Amino acid sequence: MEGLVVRVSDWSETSRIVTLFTREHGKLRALAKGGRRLRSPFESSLDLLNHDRMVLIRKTSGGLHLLTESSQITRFSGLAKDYQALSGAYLVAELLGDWVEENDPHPGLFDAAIGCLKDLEQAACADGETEKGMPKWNPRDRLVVLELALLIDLGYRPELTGCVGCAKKAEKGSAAFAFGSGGLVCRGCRLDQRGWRELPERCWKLARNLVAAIELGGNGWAELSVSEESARREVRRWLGEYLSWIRGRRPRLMGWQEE
Amino acid sequence: MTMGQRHMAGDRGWSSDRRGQEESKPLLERLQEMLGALPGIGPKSAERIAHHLLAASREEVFELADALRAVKEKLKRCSRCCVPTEAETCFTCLDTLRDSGLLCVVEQPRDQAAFERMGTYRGLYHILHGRLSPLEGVGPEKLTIDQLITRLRGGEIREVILATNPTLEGDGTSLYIAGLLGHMNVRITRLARGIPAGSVLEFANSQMLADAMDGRNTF
Repeated sequence: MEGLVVRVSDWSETSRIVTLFTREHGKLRALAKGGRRLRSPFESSLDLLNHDRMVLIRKTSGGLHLLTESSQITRFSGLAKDYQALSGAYLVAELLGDWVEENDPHPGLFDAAIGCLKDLEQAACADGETEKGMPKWNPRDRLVVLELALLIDLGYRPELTGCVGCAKKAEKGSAAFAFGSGGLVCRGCRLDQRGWRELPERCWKLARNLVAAIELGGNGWAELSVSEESARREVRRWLGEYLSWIRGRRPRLMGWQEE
Repeated sequence: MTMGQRHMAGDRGWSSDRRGQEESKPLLERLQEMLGALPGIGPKSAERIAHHLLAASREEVFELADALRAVKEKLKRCSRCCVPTEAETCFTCLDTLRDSGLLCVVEQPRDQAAFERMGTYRGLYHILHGRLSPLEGVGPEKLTIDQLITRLRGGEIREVILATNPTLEGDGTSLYIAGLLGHMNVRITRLARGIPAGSVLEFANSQMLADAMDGRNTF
């Protein structure tokens, strides 16, 4: 199976416990016996955020699975050249590790995460210039796209076309986003909502376009490249609040990312 | 067994031997639990060590206990390199034969010991006592980065060798430190990585080969 290492912790003198986000089985926790040794069936593939091909014995009793073999497909070593890209990658690991449930596969999200890490690495290595016509991502913007993909895939798709209460279409001006209902609410319906936030027009329109682009299989680059920085900043802030509201706490790495 | 349970057991008329065994059980269990919490010691080894200690003489066991207590009471961090030492400054930092312009930054005291075993490095060290690990909540404030900066402000160091582990978090820590030292007049280097000497290319893994190719030197 194919997987991304989203957390690693040492276990005993030579073994490791790894949390994997796999394409086929969702999140899994496995014991890699001898995983800390230089010579092991895992080579150097059990580093954080490595994209690996692995073999494991699945335990049906609910304990840790047993990882028997692993080889590296991609190592995003370029991330370690830029701290902003690296902290963005850490946030990817945190979101996947905390939000995805065990044995709940999300192949679309898996591909989106790999795409995001590739783009972050490319941004870290590009050194101010684009390579081979590829766009140079701002790590923060790239994470916005992944966060939206995560919400869509896990069933928290934000409704940004009209009021979730009365279905009245959002047209012009600022609008309120109700966190509990996961969508925009009109002036009349917002009274029934517990928590809501005012979104400027440029913000909800950009977010709506991004959601549409992601659902069509794109990465939102076209929408982001023509948007204003103020709109992107608003979207980042709103998305951070929405994620925190759903989870009941702010993702730890979001603070690091901002710093 | 709680006090109440033991009292009830006594009421049921257990023999004094049996009661003694039961009363000693939690102590032994506690010792096994504490031994089992040490790195590299599983439940079986913990049990074996605990019973070895029970069978050993009082002097041997008390000597071990004294050594454990002394480690926590008398060892402190070296004022310069942060390695655990009994004195204010460790022997390595006081060694005048060492190159005081060369500073090797490592994650743990065990990494320093590995370099010392190598026997060819004659510079000084700085121990970070960990690495930046945002996912585990380890930030710069939990490492000895401030002490490193203060040490470098002294102006004696001409080269800093960032010898953190070759992992994403190790590389991230080096990147963070290199960013802080960027404005200082010191040469910043990173350990080379690649194929181990004496091995054969055929059996080297792809990452080793890629690292070796990236870090190749002029012949």
